[in-house]
Amino acid sequence: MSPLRIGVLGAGMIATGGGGVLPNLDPIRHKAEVVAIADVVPDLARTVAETFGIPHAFTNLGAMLDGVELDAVVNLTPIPVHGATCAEILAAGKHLATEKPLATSMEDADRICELAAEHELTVVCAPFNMLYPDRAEARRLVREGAIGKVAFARVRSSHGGPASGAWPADPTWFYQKGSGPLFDMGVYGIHEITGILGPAKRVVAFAGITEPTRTVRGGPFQGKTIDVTADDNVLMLLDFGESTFAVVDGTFNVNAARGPKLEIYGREGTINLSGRPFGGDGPPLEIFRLDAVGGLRGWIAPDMPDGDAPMRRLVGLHRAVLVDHLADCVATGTRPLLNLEHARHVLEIMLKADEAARTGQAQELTTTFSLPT
Amino acid sequence: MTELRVALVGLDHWYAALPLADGARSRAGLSLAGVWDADPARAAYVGQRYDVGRVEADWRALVDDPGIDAVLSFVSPDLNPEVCVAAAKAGKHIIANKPLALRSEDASRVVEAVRGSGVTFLPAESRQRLGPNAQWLRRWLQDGRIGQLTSAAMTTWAGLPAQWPDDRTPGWFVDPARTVGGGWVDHSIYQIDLLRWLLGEEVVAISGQTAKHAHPELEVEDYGAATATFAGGAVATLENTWTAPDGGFQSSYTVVGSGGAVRMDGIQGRLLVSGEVEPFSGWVEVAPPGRHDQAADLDHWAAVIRGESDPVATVEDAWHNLAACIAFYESVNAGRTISPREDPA
Ligand SMILES: NC(=O)c1ccc[n+]([C@@H]2O[C@H](COP(=O)([O-])OP(=O)(O)OC[C@H]3O[C@@H](n4cnc5c(N)ncnc54)[C@H](O)[C@@H]3O)[C@@H](O)[C@H]2O)c1
Repeated sequence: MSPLRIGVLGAGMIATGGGGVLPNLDPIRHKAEVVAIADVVPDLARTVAETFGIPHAFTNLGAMLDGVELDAVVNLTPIPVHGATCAEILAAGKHLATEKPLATSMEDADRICELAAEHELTVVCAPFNMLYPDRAEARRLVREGAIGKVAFARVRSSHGGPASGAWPADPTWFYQKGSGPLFDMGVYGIHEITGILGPAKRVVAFAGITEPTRTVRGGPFQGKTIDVTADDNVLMLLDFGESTFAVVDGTFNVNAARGPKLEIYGREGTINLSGRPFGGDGPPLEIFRLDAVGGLRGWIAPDMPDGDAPMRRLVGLHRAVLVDHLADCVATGTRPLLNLEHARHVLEIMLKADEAARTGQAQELTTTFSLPT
Repeated sequence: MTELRVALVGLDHWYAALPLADGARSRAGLSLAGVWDADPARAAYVGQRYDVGRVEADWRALVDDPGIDAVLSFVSPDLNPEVCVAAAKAGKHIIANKPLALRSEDASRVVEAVRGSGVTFLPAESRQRLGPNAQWLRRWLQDGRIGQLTSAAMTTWAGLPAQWPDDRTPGWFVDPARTVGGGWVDHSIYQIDLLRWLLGEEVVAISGQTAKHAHPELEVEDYGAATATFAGGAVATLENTWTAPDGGFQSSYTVVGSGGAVRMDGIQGRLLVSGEVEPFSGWVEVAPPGRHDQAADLDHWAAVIRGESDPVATVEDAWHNLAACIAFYESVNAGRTISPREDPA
């Protein structure tokens, strides 16, 4: 089978950086081949194309879609343009892998879903945490009833924000209205906990600006003072119905943490995800059961199915995981685990969290999704 | 229920003697009726601290007194058999220091005196059997959680013992004329007792090595490692030291069976079990059973004396524990595996 012919949209950090897409495609060359790249910044696509040996470079999406034969586009543009560009890609009949979030309005998200269905296209959307073996195992265990009925979960989704470290570029935009940690970081935790527990029914949130300015602590923009206009401190409470809740943060204030990445408390036990290998101590997944062994309560650190290898592989691919997953799904005709309806549900939660924070009212959620088992 | 009047004879092993003295004084059904020690100052201290009216200058005065029902013998092993034999002959129930004696012959005299005397004898090293950890472990094994016990690895790293709470010199603990050995026997005797109890089998062969790693000036070892084989084929390694720095004490064990294992990590205080943990595989960390209240051992002893309970251990246990320890030191000297003596007779 010939590799998926891919166009990359956006030639910025996540396209070209060490943890991004283009430098990490080697292990999946047989599945996916980048044949074109486009960026609106003049000459940027061309320069990147030369560096990575990409045959075609364009200065906008339309030109790329018209100018070269593609099977799929990987959308690595900034958040505000995701909605429009994703729709344009699907309307042109191309499969799509997109960075998170899917869009910034439900209208765009709905339109993207319609287009994908209409053209029978495969769409894969970041984040990809549900591909991690510990997340998948947590989902399986919860569904199997290993910790009984789930009462609530606590999800740590955030870091300290790009200005708290040595960000390689100007981090100002992260702190501006329209971006902010809800979309940038909260998206991971919402993705994970809905991936594990299923769709939520309601959301309520508090949001605010922690301090009016931030000073960049390191990197080329060290010392720059940023006026913060986006809420940089959001806490969400999700209601999954039948008294199952979760709290998720979307904030630029987690400079460090010792607690688990994700902890799920059930009537019969607890599941703890340490967050390893992305920080966090101890085994990636531990489960406590009131009846663990021989009538005793205790903690178990089950081996991950297939050991460490699947996680090592994913970690090694960095952000190219999206391309890998898309290529696999297209090649085998299987429904993505990182699917569109899930991404839309995650977006709805973020938008309604914002609304809930503004109005002080819990918001009903209208979208839902299912994951392939 | 008449009160059991207990005399404390000897404070050499004060680590055990003092908590038991406190227990004898404070627990229902017991009273601390007298105390003796070779050092009158120590005896006087205990008399005052535990409010014992009677401090004797000769231990025989306590052992021979019909008003005394029972004796806690915590003299060093050189004197231990003499006290125990006298106590048994006088019909006094006994809890006795470990090891029971310096030589098996002396221990046999105690066995002989206790047998047929009707007195209840509880070896100091067997008291651990009453503690929550040992009780839990034994039940775990009896319930078949790890199948047939096949091997064990036990280790205690301690510092040098102190001969008295405010005198950190080791005293009799390191005097070959007064005890069987050094850092190895100090804790190995507990491990041997525990494994004999768990398995219901005797040690049939033992070998090992000793060293003086941290305290070359001593006449006894501060490091010892043994390999002991039990009658049914189970093999245990026992490593015990007096080389730990201050604060570096730890006591850990692993017992492995045909169908699982138990691991106690004494540094972190974590107890892990493996075995049938369906639907999972691997280790389960369970809450360690609670702490051993040493004074509560007296309740068991008193209940046995009143005929209300079966003894958790007997004088024969003390004899076999000693025999295995003696065989270890023989092996160290001879450079080969030794079979412990089989019988007190
Ligand atoms: N940088 C990271 O660490 C990181 C991590 C995870 C996810 N992401 C996601 O990756 C995406 C891109 O982030 P980034 O950090 O690479 O941003 P970036 O600003 O470095 O790069 C984005 C690039 O897209 C180009 N672009 C903008 N609009 C375009 C359009 N309409 N058509 C074509 N090109 C366009 C820009 O010129 C820029 O070169 C975002 O969705 C972000 O959420 C980034």
